[in-house]
Amino acid sequence: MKIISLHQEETKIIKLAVENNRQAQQQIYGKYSSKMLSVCRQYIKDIQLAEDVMITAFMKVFTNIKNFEHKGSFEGWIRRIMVNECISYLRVQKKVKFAEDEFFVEESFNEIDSQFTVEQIQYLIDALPDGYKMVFNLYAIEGYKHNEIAKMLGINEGTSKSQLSHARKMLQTQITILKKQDNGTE
Amino acid sequence: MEPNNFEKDFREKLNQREIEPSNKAWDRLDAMLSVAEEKKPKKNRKWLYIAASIAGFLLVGTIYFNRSETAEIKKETPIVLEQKINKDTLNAVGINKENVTSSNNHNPKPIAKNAPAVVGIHNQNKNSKQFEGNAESSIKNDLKEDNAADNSLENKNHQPEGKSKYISAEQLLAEVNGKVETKSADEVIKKNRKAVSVNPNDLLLNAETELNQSYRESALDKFNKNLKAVKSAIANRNYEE
Repeated sequence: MKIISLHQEETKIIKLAVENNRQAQQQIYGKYSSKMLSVCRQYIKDIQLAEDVMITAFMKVFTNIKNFEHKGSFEGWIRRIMVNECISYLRVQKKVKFAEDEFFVEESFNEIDSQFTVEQIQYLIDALPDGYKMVFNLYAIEGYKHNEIAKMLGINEGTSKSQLSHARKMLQTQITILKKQDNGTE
Repeated sequence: MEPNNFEKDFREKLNQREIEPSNKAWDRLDAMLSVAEEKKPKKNRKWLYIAASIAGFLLVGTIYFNRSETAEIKKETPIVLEQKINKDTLNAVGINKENVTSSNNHNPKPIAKNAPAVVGIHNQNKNSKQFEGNAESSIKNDLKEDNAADNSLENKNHQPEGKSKYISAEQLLAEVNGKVETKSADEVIKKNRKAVSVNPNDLLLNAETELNQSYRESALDKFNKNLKAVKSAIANRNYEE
């Protein structure tokens, strides 16, 4: 029952936000901004820049809120807008280019059982080049498939796969280094 | 290429993470939303102007065309009637029919044949007496007696339309009677000139065109007033908002 009432409340707020009700917009912002800043932070190392991107993405959320079909979750819809905004920021502002190599190795890192904190995880992701970072985030964190990522980034599916493979390799080495440091300190 | 264990761990931890944005972030977003909202009504205003102007043109157009239609009807009817009347006067020399012509000339509305009888009577007497006065002896005695009074009346009331018609009828009368005599050549010429100059159709047309023009001007004035009113209303509305 609680879930249903919450859902109804959300649709009400969304309707109000469609009518440019500032209070409803602020309510939506208050509810999702901290989560969405976290999403943006995955892609953009500088927290200030991440916040800028989040604000422009929220602008897009509110200007396109009338197009939101109440099919999927509202949070998921906002999240997609955030991710797209981060990608376009990296591609346009930072002019990230992808090496069109289609070399990738199917490896498994299952033996690595990480017990890192979020800060450590973010540190590892931050260390990745922007191209690798994007593909890794989209694939491993957001759960997109390679053909979807290829469309989003305007690259070949093979390029997406190779980028992910490179990202994983880099992460693996980083993780082992971190683990060694952790073990050393313990 | 299945997600690895560490990737699952990454996903869970990252999805749980929340980073509180700075206090200024909402203010900035609020400002951006306000700017976006201000831009929208401008577009609406443009549409309002376009709609108002279209409505205005339609209004002016419909009024103008309605007017021109009614004017055409007016043009047609009096011409037909006058032609009839002229024929009558030509054929029958009776004073009664001339009276009709005189009344028609005074009142351009053709339907008023019977109505202006009162006005007509005065004019009938005047005019009928004129002719006979001019044609001198040929016509009846009663009329001769009243000549002097009639002439004075004529001078007071200038009715060029009536004169012209009567003169032509008079000439016809004279011709019928076989007495082609006129008082003086000058007078006849003058009268003839008048007869030529005063064409009832032209007169009607002139009057109608004048009416039309004056109407168009007044309609334009009205339109301008309305347009100003609409503009001010829109401007006020925007300020109110």
